[in-house]
Amino acid sequence: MLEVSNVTFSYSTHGEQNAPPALHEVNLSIPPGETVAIIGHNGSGKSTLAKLLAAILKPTTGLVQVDGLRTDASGEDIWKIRQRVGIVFQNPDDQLVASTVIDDIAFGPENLGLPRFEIEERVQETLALLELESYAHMGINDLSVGQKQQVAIAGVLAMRPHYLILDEPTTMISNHTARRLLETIYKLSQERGITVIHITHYMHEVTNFKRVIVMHEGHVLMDDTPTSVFARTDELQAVGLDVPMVTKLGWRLHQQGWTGLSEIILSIEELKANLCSSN
Amino acid sequence: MIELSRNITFGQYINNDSILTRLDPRTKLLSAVLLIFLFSYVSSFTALALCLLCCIFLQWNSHISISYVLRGFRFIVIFLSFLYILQVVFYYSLTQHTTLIWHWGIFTVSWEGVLRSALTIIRILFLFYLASMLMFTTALVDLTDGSEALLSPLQKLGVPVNAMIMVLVIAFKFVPILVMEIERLIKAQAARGASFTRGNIAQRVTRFGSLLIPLFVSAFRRAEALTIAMEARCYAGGLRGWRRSKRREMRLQRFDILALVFIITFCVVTIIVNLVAQ
Amino acid sequence: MLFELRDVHYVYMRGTPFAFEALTGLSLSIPANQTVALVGPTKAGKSTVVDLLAGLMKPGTGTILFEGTDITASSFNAERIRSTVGVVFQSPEAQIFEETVGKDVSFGPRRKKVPLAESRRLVQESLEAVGLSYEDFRTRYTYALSGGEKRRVAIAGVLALQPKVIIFDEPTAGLDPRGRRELLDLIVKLKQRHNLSVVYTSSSLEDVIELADIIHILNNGRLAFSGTPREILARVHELTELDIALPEAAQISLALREVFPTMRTDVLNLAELEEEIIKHAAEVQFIAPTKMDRETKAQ
Repeated sequence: MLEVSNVTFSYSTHGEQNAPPALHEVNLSIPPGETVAIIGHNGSGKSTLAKLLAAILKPTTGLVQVDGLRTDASGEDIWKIRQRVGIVFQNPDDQLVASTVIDDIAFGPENLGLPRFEIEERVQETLALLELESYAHMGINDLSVGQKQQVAIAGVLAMRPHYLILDEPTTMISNHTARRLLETIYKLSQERGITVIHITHYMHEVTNFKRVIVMHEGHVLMDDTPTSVFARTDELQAVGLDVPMVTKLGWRLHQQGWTGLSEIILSIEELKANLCSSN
Repeated sequence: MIELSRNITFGQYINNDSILTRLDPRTKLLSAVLLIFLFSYVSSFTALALCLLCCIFLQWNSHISISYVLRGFRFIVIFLSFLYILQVVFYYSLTQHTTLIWHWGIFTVSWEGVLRSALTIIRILFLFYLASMLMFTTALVDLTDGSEALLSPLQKLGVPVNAMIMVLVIAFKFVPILVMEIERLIKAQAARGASFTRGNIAQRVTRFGSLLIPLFVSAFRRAEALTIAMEARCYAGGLRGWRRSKRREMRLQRFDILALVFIITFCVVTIIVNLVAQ
Repeated sequence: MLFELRDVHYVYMRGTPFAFEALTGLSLSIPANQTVALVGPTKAGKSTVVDLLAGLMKPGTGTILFEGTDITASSFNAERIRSTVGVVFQSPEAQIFEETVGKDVSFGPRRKKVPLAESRRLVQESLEAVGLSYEDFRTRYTYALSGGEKRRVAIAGVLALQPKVIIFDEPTAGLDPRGRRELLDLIVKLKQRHNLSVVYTSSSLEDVIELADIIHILNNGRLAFSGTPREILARVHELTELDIALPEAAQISLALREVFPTMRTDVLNLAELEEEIIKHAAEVQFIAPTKMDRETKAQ
């Protein structure tokens, strides 16, 4: 269980004493096994929240707990938290350490001091999971950004985290690779019960998640299912976000008298299904 | 200038499955150290000729095109030529330099000077060649694993060898990234009218200076981000009592022993030749 | 014709074991006073084209004409087109190199030896043009700017050169939807106000579909095909094969071909999409699903 209790966070900057805090009195809890998407603009506080959950940052006031362990503790507890919470960032160049794919995936397990055979086992398992077997011995510098990001995710998964936080992981990669990546992660979370927290600013990426949290200027604006969140289009637009075009289309067709369509359509597949079933 | 990466050939591993690439890194590192000592010690002409033969033997076994290797020598040869002339013309010691060739004011050229300076330059070239060969034939991860293994006694004494090696690994990882960054900065500045090809030396140097600050800012930002990512994967740096395990194994094979024996024999023979020739 | 590329080849790291041919015989034209988009997957050669058009590199073989002049000739000094062809590169960090905003935006004019008063005026105009107040931003440190502000400063720096054409190299990479929209609006505004020609590279069609007059699709260092936005969208299958992301409206219409087989895919926005669907529904006598149908079915 990830618990955020009344957390306020300010980045301390010189000469900006009156700058608003990045997060302001945020309260939420994420039970194990859930898939959550956190959406908001740059500056909404979503990345800050991700770093607080991963114990990279400590709250200015309030408490963040991972399975009961406080993130503002030191020593042994932080170690345990880092084993349980894996985080993937936007730019793979800022995460990869080794020169070959297989060595980088092994980096995490090596840090855990695991015996050689177990490291090898985990590395092979993760390579298979993300279908990277053929890339195992390639140099990191020879990979495309999308491939590098897959390796970064593999490196985190090799540590067998309970919680996986993805901080805008698809910003630098092509749509096609992004979609495949998210599908794999989603499938993984279902199969292994990993709690997935996906931070993004793309509305179309949140449709598969059970829960969507909308952040705005350091507050939690909405915390609900995708359907309920998408229904509040006006509020979303007021804070500069928007629903996917297919949702707007569904809504307009509904207004035109096609009342048999679900009022809120989340994805193109859903629209197709809706239209096919009536004929 | 724009394609910096093309001109920087030092340190690039070429995986052509030659016998040199297949040797255990510890063998290569030990051999390199032995050869460095040897090349720095010998002074007779015959011994140096043997050293050259050794280099040719290494080159032949590496299966790397000689023009590619020599390209890396371009800058250092220019620098060393300059150094040579300075040394020959300015360095003068009454006791050592007895056969004067030419003398004018503070400039003194003696036969000993010419020979001794040549010897120094040749030694530096040999060293550079060895280092290049080592980098060309050994992947970075092997170099670092091999160094860590050879320096492990120091680690046991408390010297943070593993942490320092990690620093080297990261630094190397960033080299191509920072090279690309410099290229991008040069392009961006050129696109707004900065010229890196015109102007006198002073102007050109200041222009390169203007690249340094953005580069530093970028490097620090990346370093910070990478540190966070590494700690998130449970890397604990120099924390006392923390030890990492390793996935890779290094195993000495028969031809590693053979190679080491060969190198040691070669060193002994060359030293003897050197003593005899003097 | 503003730019003309004829059979351009470019090889990175020529003569090394790591040589890579980025452009394999690219030929295309870029007319003046229009917005021309170059779209292609990564490694299609887009950034290479940008560098070549700006005269930052010369091709291995092939010719590039800028307003009729061969800028690839060995006798041609590319520095002559520096202030006529402006480039806004992908990441703002790579293009801002002075400490303060004022100093950075005036970098171009200073290189051109523009007198101080004129330079100041250019800086002021450029900053205002990108929506940043001159008084406010002139002395701000570039390192303390937000991502969006940095991007604007970078554009201002290029505007200060008073170019005829601005090449934007994947300018919306990494921006959130709001930032993206603001940037695209800015580009449209700048083009009109300053009478610019715009060249825009991207790996997705989303940005350029409503912005561009002509789109060139690049793949593997060569031109795949060209056309107006509508013509391009009509060739969906080729686009998907090339792994080029379709704009949302076209994605939806492509998917709905399973329901309406003759549906057009060259729809540019939501309104056209809706219109197209309703039109086809009428044609194929599609029964618009109503609540009553659903309830009847349920029974």
